[in-house]
Formats: sequence, C-alpha cells, structure tokens
Amino acid sequence: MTSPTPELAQLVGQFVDEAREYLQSLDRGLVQLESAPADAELLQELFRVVHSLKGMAGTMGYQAMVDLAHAMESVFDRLRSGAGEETASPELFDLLFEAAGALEAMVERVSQGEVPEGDGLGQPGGLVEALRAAAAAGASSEGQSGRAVPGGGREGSAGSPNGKARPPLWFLDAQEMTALRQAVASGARAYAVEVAIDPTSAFKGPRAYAVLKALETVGQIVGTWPSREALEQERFEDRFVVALVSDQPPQAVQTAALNVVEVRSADVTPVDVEDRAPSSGEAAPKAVPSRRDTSGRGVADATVRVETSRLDALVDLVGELVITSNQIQDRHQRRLMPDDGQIAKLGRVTSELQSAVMRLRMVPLRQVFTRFPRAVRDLARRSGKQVRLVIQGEETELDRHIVNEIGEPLLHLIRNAVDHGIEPPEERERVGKPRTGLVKLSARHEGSHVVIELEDDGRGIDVERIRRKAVERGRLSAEEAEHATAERLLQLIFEPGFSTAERVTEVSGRGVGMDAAKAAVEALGGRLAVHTRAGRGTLCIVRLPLTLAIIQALLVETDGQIFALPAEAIQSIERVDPSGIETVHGRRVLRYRDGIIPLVSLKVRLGFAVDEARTDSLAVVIATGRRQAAIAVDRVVGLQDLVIRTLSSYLKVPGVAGAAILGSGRIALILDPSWLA
Amino acid sequence: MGAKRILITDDTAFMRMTLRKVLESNGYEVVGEAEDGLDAVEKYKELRPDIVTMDITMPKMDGITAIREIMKIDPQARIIVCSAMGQKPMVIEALNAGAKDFLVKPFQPQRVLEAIQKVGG
Repeated sequence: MTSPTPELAQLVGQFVDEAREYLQSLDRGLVQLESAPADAELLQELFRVVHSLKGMAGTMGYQAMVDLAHAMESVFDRLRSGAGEETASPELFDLLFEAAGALEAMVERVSQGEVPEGDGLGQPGGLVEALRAAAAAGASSEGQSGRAVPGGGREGSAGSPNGKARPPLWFLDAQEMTALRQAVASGARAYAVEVAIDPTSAFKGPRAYAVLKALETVGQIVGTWPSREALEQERFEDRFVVALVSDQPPQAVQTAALNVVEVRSADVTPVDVEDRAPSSGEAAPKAVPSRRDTSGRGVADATVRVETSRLDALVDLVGELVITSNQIQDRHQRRLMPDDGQIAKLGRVTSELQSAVMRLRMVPLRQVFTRFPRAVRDLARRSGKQVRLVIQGEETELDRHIVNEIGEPLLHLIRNAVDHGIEPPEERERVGKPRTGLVKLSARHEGSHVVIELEDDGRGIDVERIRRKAVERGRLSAEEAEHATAERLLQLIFEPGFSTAERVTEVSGRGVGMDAAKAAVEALGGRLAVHTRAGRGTLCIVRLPLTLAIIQALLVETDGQIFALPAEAIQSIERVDPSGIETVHGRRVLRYRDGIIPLVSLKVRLGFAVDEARTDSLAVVIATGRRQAAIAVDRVVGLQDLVIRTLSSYLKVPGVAGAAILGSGRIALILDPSWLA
Repeated sequence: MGAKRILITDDTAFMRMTLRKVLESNGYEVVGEAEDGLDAVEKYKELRPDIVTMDITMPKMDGITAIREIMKIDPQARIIVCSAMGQKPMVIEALNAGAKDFLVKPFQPQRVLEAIQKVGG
C-alpha cells in the first residue's frame, strides 16, 4: 500500500465524510438485520454499503479497509444466498459489528490525517480470516468472489418491497412520520398498502399513478416506497407500498386499490404508529448515500456540505456585526448620531441575520441518536437481557456543539437503563411484564429549550436502598435518612461515587456516570432530572438550551473591569452590610435568607487583589447545582444578551468560559459560575 | 345488477367495432358510438351512459378535453381512457382530468372486461 497521491489527498476529507455516512448505515442496518436475518432487501442494502466502502477505500489505496469490507461483503452475500436463518448466529453478528467497528476506527485514523503507510491502518487480519470462515461456512463455492452489486443502485429495483421482517412503514422519513403521527393523533388510521400490479402491464407508471389516485379517494397518502417520482417514472418492479392515513376500514382501502385495472393484489396492513420507530431510527435506506445520489431530485440537491470552520467564521462575523449594530444604536440613543429611521432597520435586519445564521449551526439529534440502537443491542446482549429501543423526535434540532457533546451523557443514562433498570427476561416474566424491556428515547422542542427524555419500564431505582446506603456511608445521619423524601434521596445518586448497583458489572461499572452525566449536561447549560417508580421504571429528563452561542448575562464591574455572569445562575443581588459578614473557619461568609453562604471577592478570586476588599458593597448570589455563593462586586451594570466568543487555547484561564464584545467596544470575560461557587 | 350501458368513443370505425364485439359478447349494452370528443360530450348528455371509453387523439376535440367537459356535466361520470402505446404522459393527464382508469391498445379482451367491471363498481 502506498500513500495517496496529492490529488487523492485532497479527497480525504470527502472520503471521511462519506465513509462515516456509510458506516452509520452499516451499523443501523446490522442492528435491523439481527432481528430479521433473512430480509433480502436489507441484506442487499448492507451488501451495497460495504461494496461502496470497498470501492472508495480502493480508490484511496487503503488496502486493509478493502480487505475487511470485502470479507464482510462475502458474509452478506452468503446470507443473501439463502443461508439467512441458520447462519445468522449472535456470534456472527458480534463478528460483523466488530468488523464495522474496525472499519470505523480506520476511517477515524484517516480523518486524523494519519496517511496510512504500510499497514498504518492497523491489521484487521484475524477479523478478515474469521469473516472469511463465516462466509465459507456451509457455502460451497459461493461467497468469496463477491458478485457484482445487484440492482446497480436503481431505486426500486431493489426487488420486492416486501420486507416482512421490518416495520411496515420503515421507508417514511422524519417529516412523513410526523405527518402520519399527527393524522393518527386526530383519529385517522394508518395503513401500509402493498400493491402488486400485473407483470404484463404496459404502463406501470400510469398504473401506479391510477392506484395512488384511487387510494386518495379513501384517504391521504403520506409516503410511498419507492418514491412517487420513482413510481411515475416506472422505476419499480411489480410491487410498491403506500403509507396511507384514512378514516375508512381496511376493506374499503383494499377495495379502492383492487378496483384499478391490472391490480393483482392489495394487502392492507393497519399500522400501529409505534411500529416503525423501534431501532430503525430513521428510514435507513434513505440515509444510504448511493440511494440518495441516484434518486435524481433527492435530498442531495437540497443540501450543501459546508466545512464547519467556515460556518463558525460566519457566526463570528455576524457576532461582530451584531456588536457594531449595537454600538451604532447605543450612540444614537445617546444622541451622538442623527437617525433617519435606518438605524432601527439595521438593528432589525442584523438580529434576523443573526438568528438565520444560528439556525445554520443547528443539526438534528439524529446524529447522536443513530449510535444508540447499536449500543443498546450490545448492552442487552452482554447482560443477557431483551431490550427494545424506541426513538422519537430524532429530527429535533440543536446547536451543533450541544449535539456533539450530549452523546456521552445520554449513553451513560442508556447504559444505566439497560444494565440497572431493565430486569432479566425471567424476572420480568415473574412480575408479569413482557420479557422484552422497553427503553424509550424521545426529544422535543419546548420554547427555547430541547427536552430529551429517556424512559425505561424496568425495576426503577430502589429508594430504600439509597436510604440505607446513605447512612452506611455516613452521607446522612440515621435521622436525616429516615425523614428524607424520595426526591432528596434520588439527588444522592448524582453525587460522585454514590451507587446503588449491587453488582459491579462490565457495563455500568460502579455507577460513576450519574454524577458525570449530570456534570456534562450542566456544562452545556442544561439540567438533568430523574424520576422513578419502584417496579415501574425510571424517567430521566434532560433539558438543554437550543444554542450556546448567545447567552443572557449579568454584567458586573470590579476594579474597572467588566465581567459577565450567566443569567441562569443568578439568584439575587444583595447589598452587602459589613455587619452581615462573618468569618467561619477563616472564610468570609454572608448571612443569606435562612443560612450562610460563602462570600467570594471577585478581585481576590481572580487574583487582582490579595486583600479581602472592604469596599465591596454589592454581592451577586449565584447557584449552581446545590452550591451557592455570594460574589462581591463593585457595581452591577445590567442584563444583556452576549455573543460568546471562545478563547483560543493559549488564552484558556480557569473559571473563564469565554469572552464577549460589548456594545461599547469593551471586552467582558464570561465567568463560569461553577468555578466561583 | 343490470347490464351496463356503455358509450364507445374512437375516431376509427375499426376500434369501435372491436370494442363493441368484446363488450356485447359479454352481455354489456353499447348504447352509442362517438367519433370525436365533441361528439362524445353531446352523446353523453343525450344518453347518460354508465361508462364511457375514450380515445385520446381525435379530431375536433381530443379525449382529454372531452373528459374535462364530461366531468363538468357529471362529476360522477365513469370514463376509461384508451391509450396507444406512445401516449404514456397523456394517460396521467387524463387521470388528472377525471378519468377513472385506462386501457392500453392493442386491447386484450380480458383487460377490457376487467376495466368495465372494476370501473362499473
């Protein structure tokens, strides 16, 4: 293997992007396949995905990837040739997942600029051998060669859409799903109508069109597989599926379809809307780039790939513009500038521009949710449990940075749900629950926040055990523990090292995680709450701001320098009466409401002054989590919306979350409340 | 179920005859024949047939215009479009104009009967 030529090197970025998309499809497809190993269409899709990956890797000269992808291809080919049921053991899937993971590791290495040399990609040797053996198992001569890609990517030529094993309306995209849910919510029924037309039909396109028209007389079409365009252009075999919402009974729907000439059968399946969500996440095949490329006017034309650095530059520039605009308005208000009405307009346009640019930074949660079906599958398998993951609202959008950061804490919560929440199948059966546990992950907008909920129907958190443990560990006195409310006790699981898990498992370790998850959510300006009911399950609620780029902050001044404190941390502003200051264990504290809280002098804390200043006359009381502190300042300037500028790494100072340019042109450092309190 | 009354529209006498034979030998009543779109609209008003077969390319008034005109007179009209092989895009237009279904020439008798049965309800 040789290093890519300079021309190829230019393609690395593109390669990585596209390969990641393929790998996501691969992961998702594998999860689906495990529950439907004979699904011919899915196998074909997976075959095509690894085949495409192989081709891309070959072009780039990454031989190790080629070998691995080829070996996977052989396995899919083997499964496809009808060996599905008997060969598809959990061990085989472990192997396939491992191979997918190895491919992913390779792509990540490429993305880090590690131009592979020699076997620089690492050797998946053992894996390739194992896959080859799996492909050869029971297969006499087939497999190894890796036949040409069937179907060649023509939409709909993927054969019969009759993937019985997958949810009937798997092909709907997020938007269509939303429409479907809304219709169902308002009382309509959802149907999957699978129509077969006479193979000798002369005009299949118009025929399909006639069927759609006929179905529209009894209901509303939400989506079709293949797409409407594909149907009208005759890019399908003899069958297609229509997602229909209707207030009519199934028979009426069937009659409408059958009453079209040359329709040979019409199977109408009522669909439970929940049916589609499990683990399929989004319409998996639509996410496969090859499909998107071939569908003509697909998603590809409606979106543009932009480097994130350019987007960030744009955000920064708009930030500058907002500041300049604020400065101009500021001067006008101070009557330093005449106004002919244009200044107000500038302000309006600028803030619209700003929100438009902020929207560019928003990405759907799908990007992280898409990892979870695989994670749940692995967790369930390792702990010997049966778990169904239902995902809703994955189209909900959030600031890119938050989406990138929320994955880990959510994964912690999911681990807890599967490992500690969901009971083993036998235990579930004993208590009268279905053997398969349900974990539901949902997201939705709520004002300027996004709420993500993770709900399981497991055994719940044992509050009594927390009570005992709190006493054992000396966290609470026996009396405190006895009177502690369930809510108060639940708070304890967020404290570092406090875990109620009886067994230390491979999966969740020692219950570190809840505190880490909470800290991570709070670092994003969010909140994490947990509710539980013994024997019924646990609900974790994560509340996140839509964006981190703008915050509302309280500006305070000390020693002539202006600082910003995030508004959500502010509790109150207090006048400091010197007689109210006491010293406890050598630290100054302030009497506040019913208790005492530490009094922190900003200038001392920041190192501007050594002395406890006696001139502090005001204190801003802040709260983060359960801690409170009074921050002594010289002057309070006021509340303002700030565009956060991150500091470059060599300017990173503990306690400083970023900087903002004020309307006056001055710079304010934004302080991290959790560092102050 | 009473025998369906059918109006055949086609500008060639040969096609009209072919259709008439198929239909009559299967117990349907052909109540009239129209030679062009305009003729079909007039005959529809006069005969009120249960089902109309409609050729697309015809003199004076084409089939699609005729469908629109008939649908204006009777929104419940049941019209089957008869298309030649090369007229695929016209079929969709005809369906949008209100035709209930379509047939492709050359006719296979079973398809014609299937269409009449299905459209006839």
